[in-house]
Amino acid sequence: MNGQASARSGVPTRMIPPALLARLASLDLVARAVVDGALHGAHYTDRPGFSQEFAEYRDYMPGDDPRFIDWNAYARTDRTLLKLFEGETNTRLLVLLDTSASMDAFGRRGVLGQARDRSDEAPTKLRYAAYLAAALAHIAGRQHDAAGLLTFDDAVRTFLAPRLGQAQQVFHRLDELTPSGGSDWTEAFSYAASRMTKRGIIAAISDFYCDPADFGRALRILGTRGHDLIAFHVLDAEERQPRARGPLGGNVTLRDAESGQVIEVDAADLRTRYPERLDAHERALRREAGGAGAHYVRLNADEPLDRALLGYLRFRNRRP
Amino acid sequence: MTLLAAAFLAGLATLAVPLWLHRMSERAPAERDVSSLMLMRETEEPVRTRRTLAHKVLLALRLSALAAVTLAFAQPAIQALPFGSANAEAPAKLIVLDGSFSMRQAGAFPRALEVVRGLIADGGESRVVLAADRLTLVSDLAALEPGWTRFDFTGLPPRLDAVLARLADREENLDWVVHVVSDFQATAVPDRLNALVEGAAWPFVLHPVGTDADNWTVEDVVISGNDIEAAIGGPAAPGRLDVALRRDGSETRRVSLAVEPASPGTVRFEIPPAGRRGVLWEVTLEAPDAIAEDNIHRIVQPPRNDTEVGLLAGGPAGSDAGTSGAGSLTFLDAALNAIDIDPVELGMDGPWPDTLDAVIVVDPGELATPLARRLERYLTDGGGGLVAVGPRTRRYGALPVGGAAITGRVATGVRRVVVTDTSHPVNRTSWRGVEVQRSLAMPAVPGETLLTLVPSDEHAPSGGTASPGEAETALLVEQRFGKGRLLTLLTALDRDWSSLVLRPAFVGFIRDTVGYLARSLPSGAYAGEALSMPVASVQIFDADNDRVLSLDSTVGRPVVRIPRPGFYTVRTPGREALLAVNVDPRESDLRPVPADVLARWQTATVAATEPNDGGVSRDNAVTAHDTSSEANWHPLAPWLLALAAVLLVVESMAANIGRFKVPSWLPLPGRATT
Repeated sequence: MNGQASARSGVPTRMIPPALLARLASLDLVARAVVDGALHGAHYTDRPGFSQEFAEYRDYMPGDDPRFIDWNAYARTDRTLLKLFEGETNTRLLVLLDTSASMDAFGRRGVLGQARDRSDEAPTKLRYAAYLAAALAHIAGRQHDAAGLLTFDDAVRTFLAPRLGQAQQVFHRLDELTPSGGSDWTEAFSYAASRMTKRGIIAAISDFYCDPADFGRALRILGTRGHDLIAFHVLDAEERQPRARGPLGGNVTLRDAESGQVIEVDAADLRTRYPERLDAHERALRREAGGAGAHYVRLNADEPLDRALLGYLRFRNRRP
Repeated sequence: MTLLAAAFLAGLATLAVPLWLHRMSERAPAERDVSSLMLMRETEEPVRTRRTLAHKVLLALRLSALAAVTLAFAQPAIQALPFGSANAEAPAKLIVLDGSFSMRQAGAFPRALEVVRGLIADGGESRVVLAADRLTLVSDLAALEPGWTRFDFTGLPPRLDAVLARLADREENLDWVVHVVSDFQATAVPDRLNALVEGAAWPFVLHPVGTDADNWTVEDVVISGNDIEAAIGGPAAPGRLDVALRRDGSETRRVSLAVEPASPGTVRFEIPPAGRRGVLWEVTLEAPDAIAEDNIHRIVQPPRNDTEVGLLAGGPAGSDAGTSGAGSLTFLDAALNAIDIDPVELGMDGPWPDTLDAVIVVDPGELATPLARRLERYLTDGGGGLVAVGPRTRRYGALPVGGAAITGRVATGVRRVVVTDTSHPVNRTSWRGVEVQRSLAMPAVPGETLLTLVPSDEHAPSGGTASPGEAETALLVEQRFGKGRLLTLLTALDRDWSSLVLRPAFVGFIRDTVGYLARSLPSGAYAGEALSMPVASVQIFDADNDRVLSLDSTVGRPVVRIPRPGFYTVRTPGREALLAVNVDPRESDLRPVPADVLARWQTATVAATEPNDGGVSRDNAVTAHDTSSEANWHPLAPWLLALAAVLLVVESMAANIGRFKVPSWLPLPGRATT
């Protein structure tokens, strides 16, 4: 096991590999496990609410501010309860999740489409992205941030405007994702810009198979409105370094998951030149993101989510 | 080398392995899903072509190597030919192998096969034709054996041309040389040399394989009244033979016969008169000779003859008529009685019987007009007639019916009879020994000539060759007359005109002629002979009652051929008759044609085809084939194994091109050295 176990939940609490997360049926559990582990390991604490309107009690957890312990309740019940207030939202988080067919082409589907049936394999990029989105929503809730979700492919499929306490709705929507079609970033970002009238954080999760210039233009639509942007570029390990081999080292026939186009590719070229072109593409994406004031995070679908969450928290902490 | 060896065939099967592997690898790979083709680059066409080409080259190398190894296991060898060998440009050979009955003489056919194999082994394109009553292309010499039928060289070139026309090779305009391997019987060579060389498009090379062996045979058997008369022929030397008569398979008589040279012996047996059913008779010889199978002759004694023949004699003879008139009728009556026919005398008075089957007119001269018209009407309505000319007809200058002119000049000189149409039913009788001293001629022959006369040559056997240009006159002519037919014999039935009436052949001639004119079912035939049937639907059964010619095979074909001798039953709708089939007696005469005739034959064909340049020198003419050439064989297995090794090395190099880096220390041309 790669992580430590939480005595309370019984699930791994840090450095949980995505293959293990895939065994968890509930996105809620996934999000809690990921977020708890990440916060605990990085010694981060939730931001408290600052409203004085009582909301509810909950059990005290390590890391909670002891100032909010209700000592009266402790005297009556002998339980350490934390007094929560209906606080005002610190900020808004909108997760933009790409659900195009390309997000479903690797991972559990197999190396270059070849069937795999091993439980220790990484989930698909879309599933990995869903974990990330759930974890972000969960962590936003704990930070008293309003969380929302926008899924899209050729068009916007789902939109949940950022609100406090709607993490469960986000999880439910993430559970119902169906990959299809291509990706229309301009429409998705324009839609988000039209609905996000107040400044907030926008986290875009995708494999970003698009023209970097188009990607930069789409980011600028939101950047110019004062939103803080973070782009999570999710790729499968096989996608980074294909192990493709044709018969007798010959050619490989590939089909585009989105358009259905089929071409024959030299296997040698796929092994040597393609990774170079992919690196160049990532550099271009990073450059365009930087130009739009966005933070670019590259993720592998087989690596734990901790790095992504910590990156997000660092990004979040730069905001008031 | 045998290409049917189990090891070789198993080796051939291994060729499927690389084929299968390459086919598997050539299959279009399964399509694989990827997120996007945005960063992919399609394989360039030159790269794809280069890989495909390399793939096929590798396959060819692997297959070639395996094939070479496999072929080496079969131990192949080639026959070494010197450079510039004539065989390389040798014309194609059409080998005519005589398969007639006479080739059954001791050793003839094996010698012929040896010659044929030698010709084939000489290389070049070759085809073998078995010649008997028909020409048949054959491919397997092992199963060949001589038949029972006759082979005649008459008109051979056009018949061979017809065979070549059926070959696809003919379309390639191959030059052919015809090799004839035969015993070259004198009786099989036509009298006219033109009949041998006419239409010859290819040079001939003749390979005689026969010998002038002593051979006895029953040339002819005639039933005359209560007698069976058998003519025995044989070699020039005198001899003594036992001749036996068998009835329905059981011997009834036996005599010892002393045979004089050059003269057929005659044996006469008394037999019971014809009854209500036919009787099968066999005359057999017991003589140690070249061919035993012809020492038996079968004949059918038909049931009592109910054929009705009318006899019409002309008026009184003139001064030059000799014994014509009454003498002719005497011989004719005797012949008719011999075949159990009592003729009806016809005249102007009284009606002609409605059941008349045939009419024989003896030297009619000028018939009375009503009688001539009556005869003409009889023929036109489908009747058959035989007219034998004589002094009266000569004086009249024309035939009484049809009006064909008869020259007034009487041709004289001893001449012999030559059969022009051997397939005609009238011509089954042997005319050997028949000589004609006087005959008439027709300036314009009105129909088909069945018999001709040529000057007799006492040194040449009957049926021998005749030089081109020799005078020929018609002896027997057939012409159609409405629905009927008329035969005209251009000599009188008189011993002063010919020896015909004195020979056993006369009875046979009258028997065959009457049977032909009366459209009777045949009672005798030779093996392979084209037998004319008076009706279209005929079934023929052998002695075991097995059908040898089915109804289907003869419907619409009034000519049938029976390939083997024996007794048969001919059945037609409403009629049934016994048929005796014998070997043609000419096949028993083994005397070969003189060597000078063969030389003239071959010289004539080579001269006729000189521009063809068939490459046959006249020095090679009429020589037995030399089959002693020693074949020089070289094994190919070592060379094939070496080739396989080279192919495997090349394959290994070709398969690994670009897979290994050349070591830097290797001093390659163009590489900078430090």
